[in-house]
Amino acid sequence: MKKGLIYLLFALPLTGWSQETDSTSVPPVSPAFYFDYGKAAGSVIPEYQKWEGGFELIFLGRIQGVVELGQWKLNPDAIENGHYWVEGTYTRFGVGYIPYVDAGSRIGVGFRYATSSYSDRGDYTILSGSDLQPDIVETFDRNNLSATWYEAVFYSDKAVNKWLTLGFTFRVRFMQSYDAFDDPNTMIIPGFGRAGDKTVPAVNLFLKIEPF
Amino acid sequence: MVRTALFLFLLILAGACDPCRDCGPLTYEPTVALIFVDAELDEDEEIKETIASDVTIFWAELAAEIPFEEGLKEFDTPLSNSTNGSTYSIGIGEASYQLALTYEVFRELDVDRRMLVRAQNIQAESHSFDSLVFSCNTVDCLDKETTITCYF
Repeated sequence: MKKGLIYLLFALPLTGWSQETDSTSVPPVSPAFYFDYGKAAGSVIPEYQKWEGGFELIFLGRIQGVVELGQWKLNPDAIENGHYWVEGTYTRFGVGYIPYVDAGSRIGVGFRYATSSYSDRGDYTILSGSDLQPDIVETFDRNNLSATWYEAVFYSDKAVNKWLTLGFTFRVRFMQSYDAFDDPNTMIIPGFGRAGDKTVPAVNLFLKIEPF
Repeated sequence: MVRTALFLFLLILAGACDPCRDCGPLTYEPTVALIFVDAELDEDEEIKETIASDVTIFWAELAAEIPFEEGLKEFDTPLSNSTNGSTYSIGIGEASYQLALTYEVFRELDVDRRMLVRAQNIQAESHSFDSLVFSCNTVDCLDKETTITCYF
């Protein structure tokens, strides 16, 4: 696993570089901004507000250094006999190798390290079946929570014109650590997904602007 | 590629929508099943479990009698939803017995996303029966899955 990762990060870029036929036309560094329109479209549902964007530098036309920022504010149906809210922001840092496979398309792989800062709250009611003892009506409110995880990323894009590019990433997230509780545990971690899962697959649909 | 992306997006959106059809308070109380058996019966004689008309169970801490339906042979006796033990005075015919249970109350979000209050490691702290036999379906002796046969 580690050897494969090292190959992807270091050996593969060098292999691709040796096959470049016209490297002089590639700028040494070019910036790009991207916006996750898939999450924005999903945010038409008031209970599922997700926003994400990012900034990247592409070195030598193929090596990607990226910072991704996002915010989730969710009110999922996580407790049948109660309510649950979670909100927070997350940041991902990473690198990728995204060479052109033809004139307007890139395919690549990458790696991200992510941190999330969030809070959750909720309530639930459990009625006593016998009516002999008091019902349980409880609330919880937990702030300053954090989580970290890693992501393996598959990347694909296609240029729409000189400045705009459409694409997607497929990711597998691997949880490193998060603030856990006895039930009700944190159920969703902004930027990651379901808290109980050690690995989570995800897809991002993005519109990228490359101004230069 | 755009079609693939659109398909994946719709797939994720469909998975994200999981409407709560019946959100609201839930009625749930941890219980343990009690069965009362006359220990003086001959071995050849058919075991007769005591039915509800002969039994009264009084919850000492709450100073309340637990109501049961007529004709029951197995008494789903409520456990505390807030403390780790409860004591019962049990009347069977003219006789009276004591049963003190200890357990650990905890919260559980089950697979149906219901927040429950449950009890585990149910044990007898003391009793005045001839003997007790615990039958636990799980190693943790959970509520709803534990039966105590009380021989008197």
